[in-house]
Amino acid sequence: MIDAAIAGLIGILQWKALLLMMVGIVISSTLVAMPGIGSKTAIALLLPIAFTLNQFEAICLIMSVWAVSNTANSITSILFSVPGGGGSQATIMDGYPMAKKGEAARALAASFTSSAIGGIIGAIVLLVAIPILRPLVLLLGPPEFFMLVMVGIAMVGALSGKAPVKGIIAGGLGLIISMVGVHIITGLHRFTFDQIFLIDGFKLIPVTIGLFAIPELIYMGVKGTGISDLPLGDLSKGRKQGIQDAFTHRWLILRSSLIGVWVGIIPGLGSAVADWFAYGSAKQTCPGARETFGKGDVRGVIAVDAATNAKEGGSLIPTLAFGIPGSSTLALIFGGLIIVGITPGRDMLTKDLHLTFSMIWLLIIGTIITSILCLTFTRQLAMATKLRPTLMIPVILAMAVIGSFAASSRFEDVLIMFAFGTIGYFMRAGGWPRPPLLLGLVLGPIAERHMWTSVQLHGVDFLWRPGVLIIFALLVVCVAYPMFQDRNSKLRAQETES
Amino acid sequence: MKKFTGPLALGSLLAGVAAWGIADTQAVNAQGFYKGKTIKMVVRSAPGGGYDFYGRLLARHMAKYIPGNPNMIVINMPGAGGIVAANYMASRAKKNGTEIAILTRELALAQRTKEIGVRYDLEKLSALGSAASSTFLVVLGKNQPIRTYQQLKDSKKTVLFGATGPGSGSYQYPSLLKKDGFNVKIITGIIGGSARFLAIERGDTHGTANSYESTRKAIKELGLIPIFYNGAPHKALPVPHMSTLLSKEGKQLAALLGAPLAAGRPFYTTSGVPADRLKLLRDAFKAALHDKELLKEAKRAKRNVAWTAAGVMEKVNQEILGASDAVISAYKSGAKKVYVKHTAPVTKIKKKGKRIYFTYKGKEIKVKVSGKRTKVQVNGKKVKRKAIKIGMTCKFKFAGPGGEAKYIKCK
Repeated sequence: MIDAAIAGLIGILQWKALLLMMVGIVISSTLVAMPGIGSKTAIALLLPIAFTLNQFEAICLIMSVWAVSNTANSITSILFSVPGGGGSQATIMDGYPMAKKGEAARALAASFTSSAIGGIIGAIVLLVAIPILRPLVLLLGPPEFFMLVMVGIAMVGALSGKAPVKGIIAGGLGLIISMVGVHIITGLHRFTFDQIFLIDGFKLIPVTIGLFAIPELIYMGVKGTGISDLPLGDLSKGRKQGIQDAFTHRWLILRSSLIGVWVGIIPGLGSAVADWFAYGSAKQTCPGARETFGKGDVRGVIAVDAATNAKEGGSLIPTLAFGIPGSSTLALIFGGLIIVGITPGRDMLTKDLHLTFSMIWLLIIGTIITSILCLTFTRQLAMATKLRPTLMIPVILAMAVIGSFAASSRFEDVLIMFAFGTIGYFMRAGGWPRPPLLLGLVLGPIAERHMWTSVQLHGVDFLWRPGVLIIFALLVVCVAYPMFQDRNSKLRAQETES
Repeated sequence: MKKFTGPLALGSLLAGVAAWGIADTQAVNAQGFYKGKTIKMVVRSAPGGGYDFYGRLLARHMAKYIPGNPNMIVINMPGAGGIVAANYMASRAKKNGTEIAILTRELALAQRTKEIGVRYDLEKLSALGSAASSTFLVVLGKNQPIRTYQQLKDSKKTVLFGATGPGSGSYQYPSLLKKDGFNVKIITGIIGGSARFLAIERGDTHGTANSYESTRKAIKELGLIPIFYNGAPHKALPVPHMSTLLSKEGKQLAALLGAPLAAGRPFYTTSGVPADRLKLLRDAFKAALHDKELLKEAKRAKRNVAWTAAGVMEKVNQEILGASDAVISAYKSGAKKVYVKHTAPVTKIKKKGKRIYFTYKGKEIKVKVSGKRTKVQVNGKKVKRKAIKIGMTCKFKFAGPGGEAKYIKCK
C-alpha cells in the first residue's frame, strides 16, 4: 500500500502532470466559479485533450477541475449572493451578510481556508476507508438511503430559524415543486400542464439564483447603496482574521467535513445537499448559533465550505469501489478516464491502487494550491462590495441571467429564475425561510425514488431493517438535541433570573 | 489627379468591402449551413453509461466530416428510460439539423405499446444511423441457486429483477419473462447498470437485464451468471439465444425486442431538416464511424462499433410499429398479473388458511390467500379465509402456482 502511495505521488509530481494540474485549477477557479458554469461543462470541454495524455496526466487535468471547483464557487455567493454552483448555496446564508458588514475579506479567507482543510479531511477519510470501501457501500441499500434522506429533511427544522411552521410550509412547497416533470420511475407526467419545458422539471440553479440573488438586487436598488455601506477596514487584517477563524473552529471543520464525506458516499445527493446539511448541523450544535447564524457568523461559512470540499473525497468511495459514480460529474470523469485505460471498480483498489492514491494526492495538493491562489486575490475580490449600485445591479443581473441560462441552455430557465426571484422577494419580506424550499426541491425526488424501490423490495417492512432503525435514531437525535438544548438554556436563564 | 485621390480611395474601399462581402457570401455558401454553428448532441441518459459513450464519441469525431466544421456539444437528458430525450427531439429541438440525439433503442417499441409518457412520434424524427449493434443479456447474481434457463423457468421462488423504469430494456426483458410464465418480479427505480449490479451484490435483487458491453466487466468482477441473450450473437457468450427457449408467443415477443438491437445505438435528428442537409449528416455519421481515430478510441474503451444505415433502422422501426395487436397485447400484459382460473377440491390448508393447496395440471400446488385482497366465498356468502375447509370444491382465480389468489369461491 505504501508503494502504491509513493507511486501515486511520483506519478502526479512530474512536470507535465503538475502543469496540467495548474491548468485544471485555473480553469476551475475562474470559469467554474461563474454562476451556472459547473465543473461538468469544463470537464466535457477538456476530455478530448485528456485522451492524448498518459493516465497520471489525464487524472491531473480532469480531476483537478472537479476536485477544487467548490473552493472558488463561494466567491460570488459571498460577494453578490449569487451561488457559483450547487455547493455554494448555503455559503450565502452567512457569507453575504458578512460582506454586507464590510467583512468580505474575512469571509472569503475563512471560506478558502476551510475549503482546503475540508478537502484534505475528505481525502484522508477516503484513504482510511480504502480497505473497507466495499463492505461500507454494501451496508447501504435503498431503505437506508431513504432514511438518510429523511435525516436531511429533518434539517428543515434547523434551517427554519425562529419560524418552524413557515419553514415546514416552505419545505412542503419545495417538495411539490420537485414533483413537476416526468416521474423517472413510471414515466408519468406530473404537473406539466402540457408545457414541454416543464417536462424536465425545475432545475436547481435558476431556482436558487432567483430565490437568493434577485431579492438582494431589489433591496440594493431600493436602498441605493452598494453591497456594503460600511467601511471595508483593513483588508489584509480581514484576510488574516478569516484564516485564523478557520483554525479556531477546527472541530467544527472536522464535524462538517465528516458530514460532507457522508453525503458524498450516497450516490445522487451531491454538493447541493452537503452544504445545507453542514449548515443545519452547525446551526444546531454551535453555541449561540441560533441567534447569530444568518446575520454574518463566520462559523456558517466555515461549516459549509469544509463540507462541500470534503464531499469530493466521499463521493469517490462508491465510484472507486463499485464503479457507481457518486455524482454526475464523476460519471463524466470516469466515462472519460476509461479511454485512457482507467476503469472504476474493483481494480482501482487492487491492481490500480497507485492511481487511486494519485487521486487522493491530487485532492490534497489541488485544494491547497487553489486555496492559496484564491487567498492571494482576496483583497481585490473584497473591494467589489464597495462598487456603486448603478454598476453592481447590471453586473449581478447579467450574472444571474447568464447563470440560469448556462445551466441547461433553456430560455425558460431565465423566466423560472425571475419567477422564483419574485417568490424569493416576498418570502424574504415576510420572514419566510428560503433554504427549506431548496432542500425540499433537491431531496424530494431522491426520497421518492428510494422509497418506491424499498417498498417494492420489502413492503412497508423496510422501515424495520436494522440500518434504517439506526439512522432513524440519528434522526431523532438531530431533531431532539436542539430542542433539549433550548429547554436547558431557558431553564438556566430562569435560574439566573431567580 | 490629386483631387481624385479622395473619391478614388473611397471607391476602392467600397469596392473592396463589396468584393470581400461577395467573397464571404460565396465562402458561406461553399462551407454550407454549418459553418460557425454549434450542433447539440442530446444523449438519452446520464453521463457515464453506454449511450453517453457513443454520444460523446460521435460528438468528437463527426464534426470534421460535416462541411463547415461546426462545434459539437453534448447535452445529457436522462429520464423515463429515454422517453424524455425522445419527446424533446420530437417537439422542442430545433428542426434545422443542428440538434442530433442518441436515443433509446426501444424507441419504436415504447411508441407501439403506448408506454406512459410517450409524446413523440417516430414519424417526426429522421434516423441518421446506428453506431453499434447490441446484445442484451439476462444475468443473475452468484449468490442464488439458479444457473440455467430451465432452473429460472422452474423457480418456485420469485426472482427479483432490478430495472430503471418502463421504456428501458432492463424493464422490458423481465416483463417478457413474466409474460412467458416465469416467476419474476420487477423492482423499478434502480437507475443505471452499475447500480443494478450493486443491488444484486447486496442481495436486494437477484438479477437484471443489461447490454452485454456494459455487463461484461461485472460478469468478471462480480461473478454474475449469464442466463440467455437476445440480439446479435457473441462469441464470448456461452449461453443460448432467448428465442430458442420461449413459448411461441414468447418467441414473437423476443423477436420484437430483438429487432431494435440490430440498431443498438441509434442516432436521430428532427423532422423538417432539408433533404440535402440530412444526407450530409448521414454521410458524416457514416464517415465518422469509419474514422481511424474513432475506432482506436472505441477499441481502447472496449466498445464495439458497427455502422447501420438509416434505411435499415427505419425498416426495423416500421416492423415494430407494424407488429400485430396480438403480439403487442401479449407483450403489454407481461407487466400485469396473469390470472389462471381452475376448479378443484382443497387438498391441504396451512398457516390458518393463508396457504391453500389443490391439484392443478396433475400437480399439487399452493396459492396465497390474502386477508385483504383475496375475495373468499362459501356457498355464495362472503366469509373469512379460515372458513375454507379441506375437501371443499372451490373455483380459484390466481396468479399462477405459488401466486396470490384473486378470489376463491367454494361449495
